[in-house]
Amino acid sequence: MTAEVPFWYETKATATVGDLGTGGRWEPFEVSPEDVERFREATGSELSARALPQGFVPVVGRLAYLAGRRMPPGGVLASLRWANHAPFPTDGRGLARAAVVRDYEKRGRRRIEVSVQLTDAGGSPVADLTYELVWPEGAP
Amino acid sequence: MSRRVKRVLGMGDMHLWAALSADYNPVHLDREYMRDSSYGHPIVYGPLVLAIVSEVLEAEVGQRWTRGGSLEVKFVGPILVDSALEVTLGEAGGEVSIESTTEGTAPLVLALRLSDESP
Repeated sequence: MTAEVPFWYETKATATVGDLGTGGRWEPFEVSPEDVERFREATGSELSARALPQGFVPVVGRLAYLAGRRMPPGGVLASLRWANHAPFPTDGRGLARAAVVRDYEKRGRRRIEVSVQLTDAGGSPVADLTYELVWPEGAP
Repeated sequence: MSRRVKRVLGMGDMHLWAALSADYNPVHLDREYMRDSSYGHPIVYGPLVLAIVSEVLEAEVGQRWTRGGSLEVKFVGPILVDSALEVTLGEAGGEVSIESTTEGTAPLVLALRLSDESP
């Protein structure tokens, strides 16, 4: 099967490793009913339909550090630290802030850590995440 | 307390996850692209595996996970599309732990901390 990449994806700018994040700004996010259906089907979720699964946290976090751009090619997720403060907002809306907090080379690979904070729409903390991402040496 | 979930994650699941996460990396979606890679096969999205882990935790320990719980994850090996993934939650000596395996290997190292909230 060949990947079916939607046309809009091809028009997105590609982020560079060093500029992942939201530049320190809080940006709104919203989970759509279609997103919920996709999530439930892919994960086999059997949780109550009244609540949104906590598993949306790392999804929304990733979208936050990409900030509407494509991932720099060649990067992989090496580790994740995930701390919950409150259930994922039932209305699917909230705010996210993401920033690169560490950028270094190790064993010929470029490694960064991206810190993401998520809140509900009123600003109450939902979760904190730290993604460790790795690229081949010389990644832009 | 114990729970085991077994899922075979196929290409249909990868396409759902791609649309959800806006991640169209061919390593997850394109069999042709991956045929000559060291894996020889597309690999499952890491956050999809974590979402399934979170589902198990939310179902079994509820607010001990969503209110103050934390997880540290290291990805140490691939999970190939169409392989069986097992997520197992167990308790020993008062400590709750979770692990995932696929085809007899452990692709994730998971360190779980739960809060003292009642489920």
